[in-house]
Amino acid sequence: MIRPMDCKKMALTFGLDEVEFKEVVKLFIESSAAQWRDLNSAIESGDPVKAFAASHSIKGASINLGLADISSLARRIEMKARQNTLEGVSETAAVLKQKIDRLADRIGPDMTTD
Amino acid sequence: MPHSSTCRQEPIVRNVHKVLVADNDPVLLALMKNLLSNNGYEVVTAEDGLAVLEQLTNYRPDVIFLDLIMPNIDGERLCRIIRGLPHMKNVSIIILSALAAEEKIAFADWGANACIAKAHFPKMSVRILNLLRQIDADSTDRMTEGILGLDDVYPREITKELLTIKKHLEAILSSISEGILEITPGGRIVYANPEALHIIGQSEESLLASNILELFREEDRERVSALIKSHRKTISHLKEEFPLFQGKEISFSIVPVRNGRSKLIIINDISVRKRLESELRHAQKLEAIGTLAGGIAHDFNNLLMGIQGRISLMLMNANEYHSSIQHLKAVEDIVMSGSNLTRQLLGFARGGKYAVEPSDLNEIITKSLEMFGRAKKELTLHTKYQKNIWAVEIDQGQIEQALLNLYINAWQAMPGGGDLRLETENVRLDEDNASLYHTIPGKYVRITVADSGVGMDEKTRQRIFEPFFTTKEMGRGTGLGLASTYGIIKGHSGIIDVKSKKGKGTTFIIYLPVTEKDIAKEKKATEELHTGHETILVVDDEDAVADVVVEILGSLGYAVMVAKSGKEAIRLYRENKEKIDLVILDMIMPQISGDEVFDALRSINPHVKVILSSGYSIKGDAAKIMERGCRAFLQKPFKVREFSKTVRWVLDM
Repeated sequence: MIRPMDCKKMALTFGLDEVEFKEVVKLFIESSAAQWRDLNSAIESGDPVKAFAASHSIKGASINLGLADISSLARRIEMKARQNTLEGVSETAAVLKQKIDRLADRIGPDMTTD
Repeated sequence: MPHSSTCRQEPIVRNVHKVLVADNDPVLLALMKNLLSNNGYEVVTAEDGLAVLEQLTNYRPDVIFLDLIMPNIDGERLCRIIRGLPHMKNVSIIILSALAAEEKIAFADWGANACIAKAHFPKMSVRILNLLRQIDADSTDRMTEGILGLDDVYPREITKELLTIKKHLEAILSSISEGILEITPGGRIVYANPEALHIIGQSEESLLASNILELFREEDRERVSALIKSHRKTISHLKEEFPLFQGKEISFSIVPVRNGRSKLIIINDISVRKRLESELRHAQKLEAIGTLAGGIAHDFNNLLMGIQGRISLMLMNANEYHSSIQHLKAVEDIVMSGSNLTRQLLGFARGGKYAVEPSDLNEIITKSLEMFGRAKKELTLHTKYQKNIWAVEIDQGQIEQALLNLYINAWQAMPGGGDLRLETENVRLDEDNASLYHTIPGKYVRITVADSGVGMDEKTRQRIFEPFFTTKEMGRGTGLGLASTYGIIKGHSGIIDVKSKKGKGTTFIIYLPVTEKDIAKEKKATEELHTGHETILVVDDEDAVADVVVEILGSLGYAVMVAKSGKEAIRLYRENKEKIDLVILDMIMPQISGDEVFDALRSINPHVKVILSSGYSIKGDAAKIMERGCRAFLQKPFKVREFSKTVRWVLDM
């Protein structure tokens, strides 16, 4: 089920107008998608250091935007990676990807409800 | 919910106007840019450390926001670099950190003014704007204590590991023996490990952010610049040796950083390496000579023993007055000289550690000095012995020989007489001193042998332990004495050093490692008998004494002549002065006294070797004769071992 985002309200809290806000979210989607690609290749090649860096970046940006789900998933991966293990991380990474992808839908132009 | 402080504000007259934001997250950059420009600030962004430095070449911000974790240069290092830039001294640096909650960030140590934890941006904005207003209002170097906004961030955990990894890498880089520099494409130094700082001779603050070309001479800069630039994409090394890099010879490798724009420069101080290499070569040369000499000496000794043995047999069976006897005896003398030579060679070859035992060096020195000092009257002896001297495990014979060579050397440096100073001291060598001498720290006994003689110049001093090196004219010195001493001391894991000033004198300093074992007090039983084949004239009017002495000397291998009176002694000596190597002279005799005989002998041969023997003490008349050049004194009754030793010793003089 896709939870819509109240862009108008959120924009206000950020001191942005709605269009600007959506642009920022789009920026986030793009950059975290790129970070996610790095994360995925790190998981595949078994490189916890790279995985840490990528998940850390995603976490940081998502914290700024108040995207709690994404930031907690990213944090979970980050913590595993710093323990030098990537066990079970691919599942979490898959869910993370889903959430990032769905963001685009959540800021869809028709959503205005709370 | 909306925070009033995020609304647009009217710009007031302010000092803080230009802001630089550095973060690799485009989202944050966008949010910051929006926030700050809406509030009247001029904003420039940068995505990593290199970009920051490039911006700073022509942008002068009042405030810089730095993310801690960025590619190429991390926030901490970047902070230090920026603070090191002369035109950036007064800029306010604010760290933005997603790690702040995890670890104490000593941002003040890096030169930053404040730290804000990354959080939900609306909340962060409040803090950011407040901070900016605070900076504007107060002086720009007021630090904000503590990290702002920690309550909103996740509690610790993560960073410990990251920072451990970072510390680990730093530890590795610090202990590498090569100098490592990281430079931007423009040649700016953004990292230098401790070894690099040491080679270059600058502190981190002054080196970071300066251009690497400044380290080279003007005439070399173009070449270096071309070299650096030439390795854009290849991961290869270039080793070149740049003479006179700040006075040192260095080798220089360029390694591009993978996935980065910066380059690593690896530098090595070759001048140190070259010096070490030449020291090693020198040591190896001496070692090689030593091994060679030792091998020859051993074989030689065997041959000599063979010769001596045959001669002894011939002498045993030969008629006393056969003319060949003279020749055989002459050959014996020569064999003896040969074995003296080989003994010195063996000493040098460090083959001399045969019978070690824990010993009291004071005793050994005292003994060796007694015999030496009495014979060399022109020298004034000064001694200072360490009380409760530590024991050293040594071959006493070898050490005595080593010391004797030093005394002889000193004596030869003072032809007109002078001072010979002997000191022993318990010392502890610490790490620094020990490494100076290439040995391990610990307890040592230091022996100082100093003379007030002619001294040596530096060139001579450097070669003084070299085998076959002598300052004496051809044929007069073998050049083995000091080399032998050197070898013996080294064979005992000791250190020997020499200081000298021409005209002032020479000082030899020896360190011998201490042993915790107890000194063996009664060692007489193991002492060997000293033998020889020289001819000795025994002068004593007492049959009993004379006969015994003759017996003893005979069994020790010596050829003996007897004189039962002073007159007979003088006559015998005059007739056989070529043959007689030593005279053992009794003090008290009828008709002519000992000292008259002595003077007579001396007039026949000024270099006559005489041992004075007496039933009386050395005081009084005997002392007077000793002063006149008698080599040794034997107190009757004398034990055979001591007797044999003294006889041998004087003959060897």
